[in-house]
Amino acid sequence: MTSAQDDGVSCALVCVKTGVVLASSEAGIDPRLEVLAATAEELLQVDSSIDFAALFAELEPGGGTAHFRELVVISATRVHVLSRSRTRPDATLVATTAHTQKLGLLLSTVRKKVAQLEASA
Amino acid sequence: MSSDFMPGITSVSSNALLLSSTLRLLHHVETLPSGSTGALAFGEDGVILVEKKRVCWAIASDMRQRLTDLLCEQHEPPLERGVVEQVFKRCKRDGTPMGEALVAGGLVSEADLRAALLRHTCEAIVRLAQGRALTPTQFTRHEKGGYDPRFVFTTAELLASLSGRRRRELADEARKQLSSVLVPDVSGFAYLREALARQAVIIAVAKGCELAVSATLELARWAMRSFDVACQVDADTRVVAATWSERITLIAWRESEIGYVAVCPTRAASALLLSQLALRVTTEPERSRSATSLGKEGR
Repeated sequence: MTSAQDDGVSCALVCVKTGVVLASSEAGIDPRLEVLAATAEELLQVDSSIDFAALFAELEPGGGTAHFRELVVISATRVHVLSRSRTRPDATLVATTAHTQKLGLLLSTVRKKVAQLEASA
Repeated sequence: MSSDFMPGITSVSSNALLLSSTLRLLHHVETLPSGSTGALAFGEDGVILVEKKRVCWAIASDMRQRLTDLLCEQHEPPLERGVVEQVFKRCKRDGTPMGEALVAGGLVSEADLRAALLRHTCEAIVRLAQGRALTPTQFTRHEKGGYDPRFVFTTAELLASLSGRRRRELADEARKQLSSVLVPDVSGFAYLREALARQAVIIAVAKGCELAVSATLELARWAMRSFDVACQVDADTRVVAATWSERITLIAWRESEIGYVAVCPTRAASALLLSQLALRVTTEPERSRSATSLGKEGR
């Protein structure tokens, strides 16, 4: 597994329903990941009272599901990412890192790392 | 300038019943068959002229101010009524649009005409919404459309104008922000979260935004809820981006007390907008701090 120190990205695979951390990129779990795990379902679930499929029918007919695929939360100091697992429908990958570089580069680092974690979990 | 709001009502969003009636009226426009051009009549009470789901003109029978009054009043120095009425008579005789003739003759600027038309149309809609005329009695199709696209309004634009009156400075700031931040092909709008309003108050819409009023309200609700939850993760959350499908991403952000939502129809558009917003978050710490100090969405 990748060390948390080499790129500053902490990530974990979590159960969407329970918020339990299933696997982590480092031995000690970053407390921010635990909060991300706890809020993952609420953040990723599309509010059932909002019919996004109808809203965006003209833009992308048949696109989208009841869950967002990925969610990025940005603050002045940190970037947090939640990404639905491609192989496990019950799981989500969560990551957090300092907001210190260009966002595109940062997101690609995060995505690479969560892919590694997903593959090894 | 006088207002057509009932006493005690300062904006559509300040009165739940009026907001509901206004949304109902605008919904009639949005649900006309695609491409329809014509007049949506509300009995003797008034009419809304529509072209391809955009409002070209509206009038209510009990309106106090005509377009001529608004144009004369808002011009600096005030226009001579006689000059405007001469143009009006000529246009009526020739069957040509009066507004365009006033702009072409240099009597008013394009921006002034647009502002007057928007105000007139909004006043008419408020009159209709405040009255009994909520259900159209007839839709008469017009074979010939061709309204100047510079002077027609989307339903979301009308709602923003009606709701944003009470917070005009914030609405102006939001419009500037939308035009400076949004990248091509991206639709967006700005909202306020006010304690008294039961839902978000839409105060500005990006130019060309085709979202229906119900869509803007639903997306604002999603943004508010997402910020509430995201703030549990990071109390200083400024931007939330949610990828919904292969191509569509919703991006919500906030600056001071204004919330914004953008609908990005391509990955490239969302990547570009998100990078811009992330850069702003890190390079504008002063502005960001003032946003944080307001707490949850500025409530």
